[in-house]
Amino acid sequence: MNPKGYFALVLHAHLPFVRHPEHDRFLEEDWFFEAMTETYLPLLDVFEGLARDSVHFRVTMSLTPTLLSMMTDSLLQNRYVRYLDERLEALEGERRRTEGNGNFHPVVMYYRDLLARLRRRFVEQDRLDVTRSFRALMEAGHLDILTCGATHGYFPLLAVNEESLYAQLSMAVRTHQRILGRRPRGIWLPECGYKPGVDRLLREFGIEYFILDSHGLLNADPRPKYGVHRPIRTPEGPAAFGRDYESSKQVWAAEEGYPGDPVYREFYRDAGFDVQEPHIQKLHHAGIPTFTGLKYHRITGKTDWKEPYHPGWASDRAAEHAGHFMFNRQHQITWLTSFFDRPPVILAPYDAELFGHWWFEGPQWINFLLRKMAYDQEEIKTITPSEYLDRYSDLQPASPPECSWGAGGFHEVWLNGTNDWIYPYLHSASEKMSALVQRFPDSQDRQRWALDQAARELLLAQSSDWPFIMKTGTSVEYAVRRFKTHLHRFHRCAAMAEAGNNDQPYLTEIATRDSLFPDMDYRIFQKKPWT
Amino acid sequence: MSTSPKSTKSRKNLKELRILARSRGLRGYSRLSRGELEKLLTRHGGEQPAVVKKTGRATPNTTVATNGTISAKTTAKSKRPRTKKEQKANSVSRATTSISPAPVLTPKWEWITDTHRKHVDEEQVESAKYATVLPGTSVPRDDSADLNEDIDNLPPVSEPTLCLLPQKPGVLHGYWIIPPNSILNPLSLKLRLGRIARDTFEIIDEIALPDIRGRWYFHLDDSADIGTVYLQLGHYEPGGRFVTATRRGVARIPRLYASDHTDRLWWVSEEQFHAMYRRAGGYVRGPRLGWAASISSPGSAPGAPSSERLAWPGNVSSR
Repeated sequence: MNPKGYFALVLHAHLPFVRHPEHDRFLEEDWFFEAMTETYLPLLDVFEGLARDSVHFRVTMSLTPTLLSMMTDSLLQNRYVRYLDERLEALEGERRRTEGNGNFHPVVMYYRDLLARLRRRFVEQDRLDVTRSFRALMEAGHLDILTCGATHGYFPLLAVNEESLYAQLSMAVRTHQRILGRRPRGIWLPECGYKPGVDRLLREFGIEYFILDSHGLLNADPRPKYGVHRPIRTPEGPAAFGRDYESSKQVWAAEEGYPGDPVYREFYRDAGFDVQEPHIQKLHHAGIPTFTGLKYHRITGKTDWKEPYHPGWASDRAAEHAGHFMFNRQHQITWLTSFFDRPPVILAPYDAELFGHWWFEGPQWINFLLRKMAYDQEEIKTITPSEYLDRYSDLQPASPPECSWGAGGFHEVWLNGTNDWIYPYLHSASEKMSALVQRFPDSQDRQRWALDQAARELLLAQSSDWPFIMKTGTSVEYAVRRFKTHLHRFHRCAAMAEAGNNDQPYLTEIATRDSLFPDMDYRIFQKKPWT
Repeated sequence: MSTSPKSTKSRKNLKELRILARSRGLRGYSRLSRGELEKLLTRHGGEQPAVVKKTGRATPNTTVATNGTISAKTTAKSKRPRTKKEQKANSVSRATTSISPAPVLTPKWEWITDTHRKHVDEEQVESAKYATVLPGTSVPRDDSADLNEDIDNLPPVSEPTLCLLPQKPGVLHGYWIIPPNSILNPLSLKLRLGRIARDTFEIIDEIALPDIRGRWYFHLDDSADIGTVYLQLGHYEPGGRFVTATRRGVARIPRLYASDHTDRLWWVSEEQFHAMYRRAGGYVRGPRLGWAASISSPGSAPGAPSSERLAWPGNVSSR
């Protein structure tokens, strides 16, 4: 089969590092557990099913270093099993409560079967570590896994101290290699944030390509001959792929896009708030109702009246939407090839958590789409950016402009009146860290321990999630607290290193809490790749 | 969207449609004709499935919009006409479905459906990752495991600092810090934003320093390609010479527009580039091609940055 063009599905999977061993339960750890239940495990199910059925498919995923760290953390792994067990127990109560209710009992049973199956696969197949399954799919050639900034630091606003970008990249490449066994070929720049010069750093780390929002290519200089439908070669060598606007819009826009369909599951309606029964109240956090992931209603319409969710109808609709999406891509490819002299690529990047967590039926949609693309047509073939570069290396040289994929296309999501106060602290801490590296170029033992922990704390403070949450207004208090805590710990560790006098109990305690990147080397904060 | 209004049309008269509209919380439906009401209902939630029915493989139905964009609608396979008995059975089933109460009713969900769904965009989708409780809910924290860390008193920045960051085309953010023990006299200090033009420093904006530490949003014309700009903090000598007191901030303003240059080896016609650009969410403003589309506002041409968008709460601003 000689396809007219290619389709590259890119899923960016990321969560900030949230792990609180100091508490038996911690509300924000649910971010990870919910994403595991609704996105990561269902996606693995889909990909493994496709592989089992010998369906040709290619998908690109970024698994960020913080996410990989959480997936391989034994505390979180065991807490996730507890999370599933608690829900299965609650569902037993729900089964009794809804017995005889033709509308809700089937939904309850659907969740019970789903969670029981996910638990079984997580414990028996993944042996608590889902990175093994992602790695297997990668090694089989179905999945291309990208890296990202170590803690998802937003490059354009951290670039004031170039050492920070080196540190973010060094730790990212190290973590990727440690957990997935390979150096990454591509990177998902955090928030697709690009600034001229970043391409040079990527080249220094051997990274061959990255992804930009549409205007990152469209506004490149000189004009890109193929728009966003072929990568360009940046001045320093790595290739930049551009996001296809049309395919993004059909899925991203929750109202006009697929996820807003009335038949699909309603995100905000949750048994945690609806059901006042002891078995559900057990899932509350400190007596406060929380999202439980047990959602029994469909979107229905723009009304507060919600009708019961019907998984079968939703699945049928996902199949229809997959057909619709593919049909439009076929026409898009036909249009593009009418004036292209090379096969175009339609690159559709999405937040992975959109599929499953926000749009519950999203993984099913991906399943239908990839099967339809394999069997129902011949114009388009799925591909990964790596494969595309292997086949078509003659790329147009062009310089992308500064940009991001945030609202508005630039930096205002991460730099505005709600969060701009963090940057003086971040920049000054980065400067201090770089100065410490220069002052202690070969530190050992106790001082090295303090410096390594200082580097960890600074990376954690640099996460773009904190300013994002401050802007969007969800969990602001937690984001502010996390930012300040990591900055505070950074300064204390730095002071210990300078004084040569460690506060051993304190250092032990924070090293237990902020335990990611076991192979940390504080010298990543210098102007050269430290790998 | 692929929701078809056909079955609603064939089943419901005007009175039923009005009842349905009221049940969905719609307004202004009483003045609408049957056709208009059907469209409104389709837009606001579509029909309610009557029974579990496999829709079968979607059959694409191509339409060409007036702007030349090809789109497709999927329609389910046509169904055989229903007998009266079946219709009655279905209407009973529908009635059962529509009046079945939620397990325990939540008092009011209006805020959650309408407010949220009106402003749905990527940001909301992404922020859903961080939703654990209802907005506005305060979650008690167990402080017993705290390490007595005084996180609200972060060490102040001790060096004189000046930084310039681009926020977006037309807006730059500067911050500065002058340590309290500095020999600099803040009263005489000024912030100057400028660029180098014909070997001279051309001032774009200048303000007296409002405080020894602070931040400022500079607003420029986003249609001009200003290039690299410099922020200086210093004072004027009696002779009029400006003496910089700290390192200057440098930033390059992000480009909002497509390049005017075309590579000879990778030549693309104006027409083709326009077509690709517009199809990718860009717009044409005069002779220039701009891109400021977000997924929630496809292809819309933004006006000049509005003061509402730029003046974030709690911030000083040059407007």
